[in-house]
Amino acid sequence: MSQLAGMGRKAASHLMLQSKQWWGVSLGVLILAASGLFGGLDSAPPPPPTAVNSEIDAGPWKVTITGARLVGELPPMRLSDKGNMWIVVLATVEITADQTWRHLNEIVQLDPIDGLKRKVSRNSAKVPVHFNDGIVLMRDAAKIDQLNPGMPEKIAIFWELTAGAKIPAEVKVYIGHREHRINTLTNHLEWMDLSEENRAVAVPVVDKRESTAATQ
Amino acid sequence: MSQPTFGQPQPEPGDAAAAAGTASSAGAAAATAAAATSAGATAASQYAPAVPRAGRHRNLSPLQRFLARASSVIVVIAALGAGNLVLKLTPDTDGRERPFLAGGEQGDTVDADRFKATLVQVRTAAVVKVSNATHDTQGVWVILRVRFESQEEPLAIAYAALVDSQDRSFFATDRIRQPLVDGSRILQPGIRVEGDVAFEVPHDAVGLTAQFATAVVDRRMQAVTDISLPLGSGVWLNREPAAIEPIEVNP
Repeated sequence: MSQLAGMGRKAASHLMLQSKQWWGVSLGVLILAASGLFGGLDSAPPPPPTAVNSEIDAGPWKVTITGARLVGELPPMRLSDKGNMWIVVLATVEITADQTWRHLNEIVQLDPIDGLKRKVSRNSAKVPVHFNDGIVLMRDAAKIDQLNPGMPEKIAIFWELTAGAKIPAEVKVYIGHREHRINTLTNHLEWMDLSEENRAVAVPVVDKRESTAATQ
Repeated sequence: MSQPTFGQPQPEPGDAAAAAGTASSAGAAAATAAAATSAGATAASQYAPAVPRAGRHRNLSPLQRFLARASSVIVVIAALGAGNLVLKLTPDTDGRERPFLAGGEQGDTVDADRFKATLVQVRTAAVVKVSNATHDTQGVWVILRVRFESQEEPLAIAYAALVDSQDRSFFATDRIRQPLVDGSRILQPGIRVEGDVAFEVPHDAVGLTAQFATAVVDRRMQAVTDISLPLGSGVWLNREPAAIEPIEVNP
């Protein structure tokens, strides 16, 4: 017993003699070890998909995904094969940047689906996605590739699904994010990719092929 | 025995510590150590004279030393503040490389270095008509009749925008085809080409100016027109669809 107490006293006196740096490093190692033990060093899980009809502020634009449809031929979008179908994601987009935004491709991207005609690409977050086949303004069915600031518009975003492909009951779309900051290479104030903020929205797909076929 | 150098302790006769200060060889150092041991280091240091310190801080009181250090810190902070002020007063990269705006009014021929532009007419409407198709808007259609002329070489106008008092830029609409300003219509020098250009702006856009340039994206340090539109804050909208007129050459 007295031997044990002696060892304790020896250890205590040894610790008292250590430098501040030694204490700092030891404390840091202990904190890291404890964090690792309880999963603190694991990568954070992605945020849960945002619900349909929720507005997402993604920097230069605000996006509300309102639904998804499966349709046949729907002018002005022309299918490459009459048996194919369009997956259409409906969204309301408002440009909050101070100028017209050209090239709307990155705003809504589709999570890969088997049977889609467009090949899988990688977005700025290196996530595999399908960029769209075309965007149509709901107001007058004009094909567009730009939107004006301060003028929120309902748009339809198209992806072509090949005939015989499995019809998805739900699709997942990613909303591209950007932040306004200085580009360290050019020193200009620009809307830069904020890839880690890509938010996903799970959208149920409503089959409207019969109604679109009737309008042809 | 070497001469005492500036800043070193001055020897006192019979002082062991002072002797150590003047010793220069290894033998002398050893002798000093022995002397210190024998005479008693404590006694030696007790009777050592105040050591004059070198430089401008010698013999400073604690308050003076504090003030000297504090003034150094203040000088550094003042230098950083002055640098920050200079940075704030000088234009940033975007400001330094902004486009060269060539101003004018309706009817003026505005010289934008490589081309000249004249604003001939301004119309506003709720609907525009192209062939049989009509296009409405949630804001206002602004249709400009513009005449361009290249000055020296073939070129194309690839940038057309209305800029409002909030510095928002509204590009020429892509809902209808506008070859005159989408970079596809080549202007030959000396041949004037006139046509309609349609823009869509929100109702709260006021103080509009028309900007045209040859550069599609990068307009840094480029000549850009900046023609004021004769529109008041409240725009009367024609209920009749405004037709987009065809392009004319040498009107």
